[in-house]
Amino acid sequence: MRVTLHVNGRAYARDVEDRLLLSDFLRHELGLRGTHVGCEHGVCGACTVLVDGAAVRSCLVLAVQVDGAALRTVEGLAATDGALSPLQSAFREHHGLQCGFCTPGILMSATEALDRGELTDRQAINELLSGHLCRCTGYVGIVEAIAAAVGLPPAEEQAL
Amino acid sequence: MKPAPLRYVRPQSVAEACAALHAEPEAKVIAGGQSLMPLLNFRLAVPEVLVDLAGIPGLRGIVVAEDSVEVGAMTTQRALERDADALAACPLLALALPHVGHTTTRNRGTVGGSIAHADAAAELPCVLACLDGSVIVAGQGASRQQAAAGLFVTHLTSALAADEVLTAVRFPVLADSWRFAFHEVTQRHGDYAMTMIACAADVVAGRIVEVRIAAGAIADRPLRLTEAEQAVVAGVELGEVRRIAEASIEPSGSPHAPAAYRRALVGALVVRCLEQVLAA
Repeated sequence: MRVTLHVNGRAYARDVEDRLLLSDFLRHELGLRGTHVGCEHGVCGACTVLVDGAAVRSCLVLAVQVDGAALRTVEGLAATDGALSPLQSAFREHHGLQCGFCTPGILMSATEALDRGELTDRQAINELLSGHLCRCTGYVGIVEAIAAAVGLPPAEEQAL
Repeated sequence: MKPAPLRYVRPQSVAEACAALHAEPEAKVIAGGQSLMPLLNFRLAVPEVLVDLAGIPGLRGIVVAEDSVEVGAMTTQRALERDADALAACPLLALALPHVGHTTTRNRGTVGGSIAHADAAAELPCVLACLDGSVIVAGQGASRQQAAAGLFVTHLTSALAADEVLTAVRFPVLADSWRFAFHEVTQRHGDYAMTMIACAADVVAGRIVEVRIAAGAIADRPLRLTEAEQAVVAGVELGEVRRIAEASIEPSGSPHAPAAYRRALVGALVVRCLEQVLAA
């Protein structure tokens, strides 16, 4: 089936098999390999992208289902001159990533939640992150990065 | 981890969708796909045709009436979660919806899809069973209303015929004197629940005069704990209600939640819900 859509403001049209996952469409058909594929059954959150502004798992969507939609992927977060978005900068500043595999998905979920003003406290950030698996860092740096991007005060230092 | 070859169709009306399902016995409806897509990726489900309801106008939207909140089948769980009027009219939804998967799955997962999928560990079927709600079903003939009692046949199987389409879900609105509670236990927030309890109670002068208690994830479909309900209304003290609730079920076990543990969870969550509605 023919799929016509916009990704990061650019128009694409491709003829694809009906069964093709959106995650594979982005990576293999469009060459946008910033979207990572972890579990392919909706558990790890690494493949999260924005479809018409809503963060969804691209491994749980067929490409043919989003015909006509406007998508945003991690490649679309930085400015055209390469300047990182405030959220991306906060991840760099607060060591919010180590191997970086889970990072694109987290950035896309957090981008939607930031835009909607839903991250009012650390509990909201924790709940957002419950849908994303990170196996390197633990979540402290990730939470601090998002908290900084929201404008929450830094966490109090814990006595060791 | 990829779906088997399939054909995708996108009907423009409910009648067209029903006709497509009628014509092709190995067809399957896809709504938001947040439960179906993992099954397709694992090839646990291998339909020849996927009938997507997303292109049908009129299946999205929420109507808050005096006696019910009627939710169009293709309304996302997230849209319902953000509808303050619907949540005020049906507070049990406000308590249960945050437990449904994660925000990213609720962004795409639909209310009708969750009900029609009839997962024994899903929250919305448990809520519908607790509230004695119903669904509107379209088929080859006239559409019909199907009560929650009788809708959930077994795990992943509803009473809908293969060529029927669920078009709306009706959550009853109860009087102001009703109080609600919803609790579940999961290994991590958003995971499948090991046990959940939904509770609606009519509390008059500090006493429960009517109560509905539904349990999810302990059998092949949501169960109403009728013996415990009767005991509560009869004024039996909570410790004994707990024992009655635990004795009334025969939960299955899993590596993470053996049957005895699941039984104890049911008792604990029933008491937690009842204490909450009495304190409200």
